[in-house]
Amino acid sequence: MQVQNDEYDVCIVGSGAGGGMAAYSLTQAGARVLMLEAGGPWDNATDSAMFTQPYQTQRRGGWIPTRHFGEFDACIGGWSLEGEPYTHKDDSEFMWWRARMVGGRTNHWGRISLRFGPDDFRRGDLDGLSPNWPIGYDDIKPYYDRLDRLIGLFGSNENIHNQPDGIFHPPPRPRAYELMVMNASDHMDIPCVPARLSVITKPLNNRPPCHYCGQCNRGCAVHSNFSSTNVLLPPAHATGNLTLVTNAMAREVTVNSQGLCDGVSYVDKATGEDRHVKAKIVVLAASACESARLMMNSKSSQFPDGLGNSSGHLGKWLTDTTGTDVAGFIPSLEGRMRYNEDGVGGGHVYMPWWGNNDRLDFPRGYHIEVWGGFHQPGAGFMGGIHNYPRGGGYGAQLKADYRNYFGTTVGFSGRGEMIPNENSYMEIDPDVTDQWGIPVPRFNWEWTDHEYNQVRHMQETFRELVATMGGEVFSEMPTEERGYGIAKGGQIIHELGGARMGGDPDTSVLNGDCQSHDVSNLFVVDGAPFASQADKNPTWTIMALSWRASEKIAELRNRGEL
Amino acid sequence: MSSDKKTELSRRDALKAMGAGAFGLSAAYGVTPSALEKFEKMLREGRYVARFFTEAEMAALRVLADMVIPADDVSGSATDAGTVEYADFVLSISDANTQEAWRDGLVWLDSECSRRFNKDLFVSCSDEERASILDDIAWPNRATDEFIERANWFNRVRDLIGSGFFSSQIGAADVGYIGNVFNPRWQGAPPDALRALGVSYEEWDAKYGDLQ
Repeated sequence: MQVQNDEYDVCIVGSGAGGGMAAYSLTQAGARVLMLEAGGPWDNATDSAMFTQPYQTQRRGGWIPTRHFGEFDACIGGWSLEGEPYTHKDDSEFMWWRARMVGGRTNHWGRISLRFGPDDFRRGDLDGLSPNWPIGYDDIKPYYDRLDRLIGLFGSNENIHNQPDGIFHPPPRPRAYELMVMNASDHMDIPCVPARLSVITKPLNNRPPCHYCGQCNRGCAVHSNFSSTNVLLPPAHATGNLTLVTNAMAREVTVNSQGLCDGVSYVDKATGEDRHVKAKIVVLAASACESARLMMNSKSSQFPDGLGNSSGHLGKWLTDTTGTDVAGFIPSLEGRMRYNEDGVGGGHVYMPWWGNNDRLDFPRGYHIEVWGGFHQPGAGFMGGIHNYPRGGGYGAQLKADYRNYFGTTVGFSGRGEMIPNENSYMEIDPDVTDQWGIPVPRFNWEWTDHEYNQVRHMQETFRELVATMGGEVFSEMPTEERGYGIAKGGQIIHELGGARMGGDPDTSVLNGDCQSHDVSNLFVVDGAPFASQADKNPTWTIMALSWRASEKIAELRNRGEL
Repeated sequence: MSSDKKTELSRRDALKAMGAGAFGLSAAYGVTPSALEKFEKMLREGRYVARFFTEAEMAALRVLADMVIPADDVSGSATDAGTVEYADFVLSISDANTQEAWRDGLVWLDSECSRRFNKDLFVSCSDEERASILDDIAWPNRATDEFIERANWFNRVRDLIGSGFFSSQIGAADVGYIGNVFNPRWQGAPPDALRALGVSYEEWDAKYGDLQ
């Protein structure tokens, strides 16, 4: 093994939302930071396919093994990676997404930037189904505010219970069909308000406002949307304190005789050689399951059950967002006028949770995302056209149907809160390793009636929305046997938990500052610390927690306590 | 298509833009600009070498594809847009079950021609004879038990040929997609489009302001 003698102040594992934020904060605080990224380099300015028309490639933008959301998608990675397997317990199903590139999953996400609300941190008091977080909304609010100012997002202040407002850029006007959705949801007494996406609509910190090409997911070449590479890593690099090592697959966090971390060993993927870097502090931001895996694999005589796992809760309480979708055909949109309907790369409106759980058979809630419109024709364009009223056919009639039905579909996706349960967890598979010999996770996953009942409610609501718009739903209501159409665990790519925070070291892995209860110079700043989900996409909260933890690290260093 | 020359020109412009590097394509996107140019040259010169289908299957597919998407006064046909070559490429990277299903369907078309019309091949039948077979499998809700499995196969054919045609440059222009461009002054839908749907920005603008 090649050992680097240079000792860094901090080694950060992962360059996505949590790692990028930690690097931004710690380098500016004067720390010398080494960042390990398992994937290769990526620069949206030169690597993005932002303005590529599908007919410019033979694949027409379709699925390829390294890009499950289409060949133009910025994110290199997916639910399966060559040479990096994972396994399941019994016939349990879980899909584990990994990004392998600088910027991590911030290259993938839909830019939906919702704050967790005050209730989301104290569910233990409210329904008792999962513990309170050791911190509350007031602890994290200043960091949300600073994120809003640093990164920028559009949205609107609505003063809705448990949906905190923020500091927003003005929202772009909705598309025509989104106005129709707003009317339908108004009719059903469901609030439908401007979406909150980290896409800027005014200039901010030398970044130009959005130019509405509709392709955020391909990576914005002019940095009008957020990714770690667009917004966080450049200022970190500018301090001169950041050293980024790509294609570096972390194997183990190493410890010294005092039981403190002293560095990270990793595989240089280019050469296959094992290397080790020394650091005074280790910050894990490799994604919830990857960080938990790394801690489990960091076994020593002092930590026989894995690093920071004296509670035995490492890998437990994994959650993902619940999800299901319904699409419908809206006859009034047939043969409508053509114009550029792209907008930003996501919905311009959404529906925050509105329900009253006292009158429902499930706890907590979900939000609704809206989609439809004149999408860029590519692979799979208008697939299943036989489901439209004409019923299929061929020839001149079919060709006319494609024109007539283009842009007549409107869809709804529910994204809801899963309750952590003891049967959704990961552990290390004793028999399987990846291509570098690193033991891999084995997942066990179980939804409960909390999630099934919630998803049934989503299906019923979306079908009513389509009907209210005068439309017809393409598919039958999924049966109970099919879980009412619930997405598989991991499919929504919001894994949280695995190293949850808590006030009690016997039942949690981290404290409220994302610091290990057992190892004072070990921090975890990705999705792993979350004590529970919320019906909000987690990225904004991951970054707020990471920023807060990073400032705590700087403070402890200044006081000489680390 | 009447505007072949214009199409070629803009295609060349597109290739130039791709090569320029600003938002250029790399090998990571499945095909490099030079490989695509070579592919398009082969298409123009009619010497495309199939990757998955046999020559006989390609011939049958060309006939079938132009029955699915024929030329009309708006645009060219499926074969004009290189759709069969696109289908061949997609099938060449598809899983074995999908490949088998496609092949099986083409074999069935020939056998049906033999059974009904005593002709060996789908391509040897008359237009009317071919249409009579498609009429039995192109409407899944109406297909009889005898043809339901073939109707499911034809759903795949329709989806791949249809998406292949409309994702081509000819097809995208036909269906009227005009986005994925620099459009900094977003104003939503134009007034005529809103009026036709009975919606307006009045309430939105009063509440949230007009971005512009």
